[in-house]
Amino acid sequence: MQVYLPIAEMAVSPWLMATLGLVVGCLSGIFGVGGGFLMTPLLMLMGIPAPVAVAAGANLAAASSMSSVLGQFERRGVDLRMGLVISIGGIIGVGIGSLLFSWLKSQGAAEATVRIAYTILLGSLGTSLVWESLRAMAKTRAGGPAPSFRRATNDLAHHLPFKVRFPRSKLVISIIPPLAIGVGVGILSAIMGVGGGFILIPALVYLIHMPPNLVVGTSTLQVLITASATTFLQSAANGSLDLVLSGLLIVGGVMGAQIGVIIGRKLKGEQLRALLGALVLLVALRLAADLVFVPSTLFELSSPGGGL
Amino acid sequence: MMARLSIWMVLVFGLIVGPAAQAQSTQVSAALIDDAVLVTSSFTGAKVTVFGSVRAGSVGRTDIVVAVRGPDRPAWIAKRKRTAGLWIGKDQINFAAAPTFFGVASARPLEQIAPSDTLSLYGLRPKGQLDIAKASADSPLADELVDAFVAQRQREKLYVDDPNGVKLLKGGLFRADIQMPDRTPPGLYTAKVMVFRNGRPAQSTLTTLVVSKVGTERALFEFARDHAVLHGLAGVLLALVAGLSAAGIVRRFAPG
Repeated sequence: MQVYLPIAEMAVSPWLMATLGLVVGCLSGIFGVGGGFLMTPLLMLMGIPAPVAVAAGANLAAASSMSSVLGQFERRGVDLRMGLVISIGGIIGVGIGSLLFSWLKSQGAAEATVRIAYTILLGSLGTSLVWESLRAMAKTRAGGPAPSFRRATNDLAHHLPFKVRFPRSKLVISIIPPLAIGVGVGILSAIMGVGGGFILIPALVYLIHMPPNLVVGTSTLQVLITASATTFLQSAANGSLDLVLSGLLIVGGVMGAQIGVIIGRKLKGEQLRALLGALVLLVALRLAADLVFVPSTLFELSSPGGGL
Repeated sequence: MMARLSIWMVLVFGLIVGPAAQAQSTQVSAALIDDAVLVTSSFTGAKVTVFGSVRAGSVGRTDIVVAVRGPDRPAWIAKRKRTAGLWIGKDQINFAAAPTFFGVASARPLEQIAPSDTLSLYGLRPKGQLDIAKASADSPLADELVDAFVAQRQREKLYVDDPNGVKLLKGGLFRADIQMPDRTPPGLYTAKVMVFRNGRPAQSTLTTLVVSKVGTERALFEFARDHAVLHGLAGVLLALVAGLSAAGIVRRFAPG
């Protein structure tokens, strides 16, 4: 059985799409990320035009972060003020990214840009995930203590002007770094259809020095807002949101996310991260294959819209 | 050169004086089984079927060729070149318009029916249907890229050349089937039926068919196009509601 997608203008198997949503949702539940960064490239590899894949990935990320953000609030794991500051930056970034994307689309360069951006991003992310978890595993085996976070006090965030108090995180820092991080993540979100959790989590830990127990919840809130903005703008500005595709992915995705949370509680962190890293690397390699190796066809062709 | 010229003169002569004289020798009438292809949620492509009858003299061989052409859209093709270690599309030509679908059906290979210049002249070759943008026309690679473009669309079944697509039935009746894939976009399609007598075009007739989205597909497509803002909000709402209900279900059945 096949279902016709009204915006992508092609037929896909609904079971395949729902299963894809389930698997990606499961992974996003395990790791506490939205899953857009896996879904968008997978959709592109399956022949969905890049603009449609970006909108669908963002929509899925919004849904999966919505399904977990309430739980995070109940566990008091969200710094609302920090989340909102980053989200304001995020919405600005989505606006900039959306304009950039419209321009790339009119130049017929959307497909190639998204591919290259993904190859770089997933390649570096996968490498660092695998590397970090291998190091952590070696350390655990050697019997050493787990690496601990030291709260730096003399970095950029403390020197810049416009200091703001974030009582929940017990931080008094300049508002510029969180805003800038938000803008950066927003641009990536608009171009790549990601929520940005997988970038924001390390940024909150290493750049903002937030307490670890607030990182995932705050990032989830930000992903919810940024991914919603991307979904909205991809539809309003580029007309590339396909509700049939989103619906199929989201039904599988939110169910998978709940299963993933349960699995995540029972598995060991380092091995999980190594697994995710390997998976991310695999997707990156598949995308890179066309760029790095002698391609099977020397030609690429498309229409401005990405599809026909 | 003289031979070519005289063929042309015969052609022109045929076109001017032709109708009365030719109508007696060759007549074709054809109709589409369906002049509307409906794109529903279960659309996976469509088969366009043309039925018709041809009356021709008994001398020589009669061939039927049916061509279906989809709506034009701009397109581009680039040749990949190794740049800084990466294979990136460099030399690019743009098409101001390229048919999204171009299918030709006949009862034997086109090359056996008519000379290749005749086929091009009568628009039975996909290559001749491509409208290269002015800025790209002078590119030294234009020829190679146009061929590659056609070859790629043939691989994707968007440009089809089916030498077994026309079935000749008894009493001058014929039936032509052309398969369109799911990616063929909605729009106005033209179907052309041509009759060749001994390698020369004798008669042709044109009809059109409409490929249109209906039902849910149409509603969603028009909603997205006419109310892009509301459509975007619907997408956000879909995500929020799905996320909330999934969380709610889990809380009810698996507390903690």
